[in-house]
Amino acid sequence: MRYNDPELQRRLAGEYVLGTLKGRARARFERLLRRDSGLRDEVAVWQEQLMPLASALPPIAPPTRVWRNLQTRLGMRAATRFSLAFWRNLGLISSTAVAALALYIAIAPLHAPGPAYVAVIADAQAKPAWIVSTRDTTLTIKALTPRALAANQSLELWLLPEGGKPVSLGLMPLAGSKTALLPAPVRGQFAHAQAVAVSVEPVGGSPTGQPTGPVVYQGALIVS
Amino acid sequence: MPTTPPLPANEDTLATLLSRCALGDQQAFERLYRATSSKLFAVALRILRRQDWAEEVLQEAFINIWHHASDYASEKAAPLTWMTHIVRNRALDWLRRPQREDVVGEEVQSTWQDESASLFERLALARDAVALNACLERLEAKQRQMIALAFWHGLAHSELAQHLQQPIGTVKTWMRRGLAMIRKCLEGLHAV
Repeated sequence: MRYNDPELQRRLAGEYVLGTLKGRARARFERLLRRDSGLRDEVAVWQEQLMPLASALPPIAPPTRVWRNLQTRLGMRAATRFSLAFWRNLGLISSTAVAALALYIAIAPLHAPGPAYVAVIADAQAKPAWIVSTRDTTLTIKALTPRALAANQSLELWLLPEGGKPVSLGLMPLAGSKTALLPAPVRGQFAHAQAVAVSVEPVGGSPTGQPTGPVVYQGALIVS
Repeated sequence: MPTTPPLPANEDTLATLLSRCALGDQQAFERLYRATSSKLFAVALRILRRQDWAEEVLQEAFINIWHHASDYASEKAAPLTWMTHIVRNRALDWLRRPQREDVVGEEVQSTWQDESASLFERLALARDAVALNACLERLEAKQRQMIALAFWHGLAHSELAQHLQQPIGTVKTWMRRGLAMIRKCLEGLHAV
């Protein structure tokens, strides 16, 4: 094949970026790419032109273990479970969520015999999606905007006690709100937790009692 | 409450984070990961169709990004474009390993069929795909379908031929013409 034909170069670069250039042809093209800056420019143009196709794909949060493994493999700081580094990510919660939280606290009734907790869970666009609150022996989860989910999946809420395993707080409502009773042992765990997280689970919730799917949302837990 | 300021995931910020990664800033790397990993994981998962492979490929890609952040040339591509290309390359290389080849079953193919309409809808709404969309619209439906399927699922000509039930020669011709038309159309749009 004559690789110095500009038409051919352009076509192969397009198919390389698209991904249809496979096997030995792909390997050969990559070898050429390393020593031909004109070909690299051609690839760069196609990248800019075709990569917007990726924006059609709905984002999927990878499981938290991917980040922990990355830290380990790159010899970055000790990757402990639910480390400070991981929860620093909570800083990504937008100021809107913080404002919503402040407003919620301001308007929530002051009556509360024991400590009451509240968390705003933000979605991937950092918009407030759910408000989780406890009062006496009950837990209320309110969906601020309706969510769609595959028919074979449920969203499960987890309390994350520091230094302990996640504790299930039940399934998330996809619309409206739900109130559930909090058993005493679970209530006791709130004092040791600073965050809640939501994972994707099979319908009905995790079969193991621990998160099995990716953690897709999270929120800081505070005493209201 | 945490004190880290909220991070807008725009291209300027990503470019800044990449340049800080090139200086060995681990916190910048973490923020880069937080800002982009969901988009990139979706790309890997589509192509590989297996959670464990996609996780491995995402890790390899981010290791690559960390080590090559200094190679990132902002004048050639937007940060997310550059990172998406790295993830796709890793994923396509992964599929190329002989032991990784698996047969695409009918079940998978019908999933593609079911979801491609919704992906095209999302594409039509994507701000950074306005020009590409306009040009894809000018193609015949089958060409548009073929190019998008190849990109989203990392399909080879033979797999496209099987999926679209067309001879491989026809698929190659459609592909060649389709890509040429997109290129011409995009260059026309940019020239205006």
